[in-house]
Amino acid sequence: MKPRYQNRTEILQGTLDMLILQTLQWGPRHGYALSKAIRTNSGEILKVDTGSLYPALHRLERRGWIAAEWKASEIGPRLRVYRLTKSGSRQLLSERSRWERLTAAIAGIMNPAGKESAS
Amino acid sequence: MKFSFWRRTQRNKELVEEMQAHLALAEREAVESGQSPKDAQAAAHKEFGNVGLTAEVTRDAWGWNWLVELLQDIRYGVRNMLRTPGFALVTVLTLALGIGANTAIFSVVDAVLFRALPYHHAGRLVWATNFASEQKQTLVFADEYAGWRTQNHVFENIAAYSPAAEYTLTGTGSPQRLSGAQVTASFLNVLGVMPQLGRNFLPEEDRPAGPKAVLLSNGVWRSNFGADRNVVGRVVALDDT
Repeated sequence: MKPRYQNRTEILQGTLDMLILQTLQWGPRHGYALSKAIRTNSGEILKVDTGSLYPALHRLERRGWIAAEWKASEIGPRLRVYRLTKSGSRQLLSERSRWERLTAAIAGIMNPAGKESAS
Repeated sequence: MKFSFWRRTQRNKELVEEMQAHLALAEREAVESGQSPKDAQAAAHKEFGNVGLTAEVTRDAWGWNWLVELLQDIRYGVRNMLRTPGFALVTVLTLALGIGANTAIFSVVDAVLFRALPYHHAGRLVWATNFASEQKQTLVFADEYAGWRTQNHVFENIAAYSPAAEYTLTGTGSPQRLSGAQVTASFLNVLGVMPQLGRNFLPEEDRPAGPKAVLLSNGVWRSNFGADRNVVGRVVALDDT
């Protein structure tokens, strides 16, 4: 139903949280800057849908992995700026290792020769 | 003190502000890259997608926290009250008495001032009396009433009644204490009501030492006479005590 951009790839289910936490590692950002950073850092391949980004941000905030703060801006409305918390950093580490295990497992299936040499 | 519900409406406002900021930033960037303000606004909205839907799914992410917090607030309140039971009791009693007194006063005010009497032309009913300043009570003597009646050219009709008194009813099982009042024959006419059963008082029953007649209230008719429709004309024994 929703219009999709043909030339962009949807973010893989379950990885958006990790991408947000990872991006916030480089400093506090508001929602718009976050979506831009993810797009730019992925070489314009990954596009974050706002309908996924804001629910994710609020969910992460509720879990205590990120914290939000209002900052005044020159554009009119205030900006809600998110930063990574201590428990957010720990969560990022565990999600990263889970991601690495997953990609290694998928690589093993896609490339059986590599799996044999690894085991 | 926290009020989860109000905080939720506050958060709703903040969510709208957050998304407006997103749109404003996207718009400004499009303008800076050379688009006309109108195109920039359209592009920002297209890129963002459905604002209402995004707000809705974001609110879903808040979960049932507000309900959990409300329950926490209630538990916190109850615990605090139990910690200082004396104070809590005084507070509850103060509120209870305050609310109760207000309700009682308003019930009277409502009945006396606001609600019309349940009679036809209630607005034309008037209560007139003498006031005996020595005895500090309202008082109209029978001969005065007779004078008012004969000289009346103000009112359509006049009736008088004695204050409600207690009577003993005998002859219908065990003796019963009933409250009743003596009224003049015109009483029901003035109020504009008629007996459901039997007849109204007759003029000759209005004279001193005239025949005595009794009208039963619906309550007494049901409780003491078994709602008997043949009760009309029966002689009842009433002792005034």
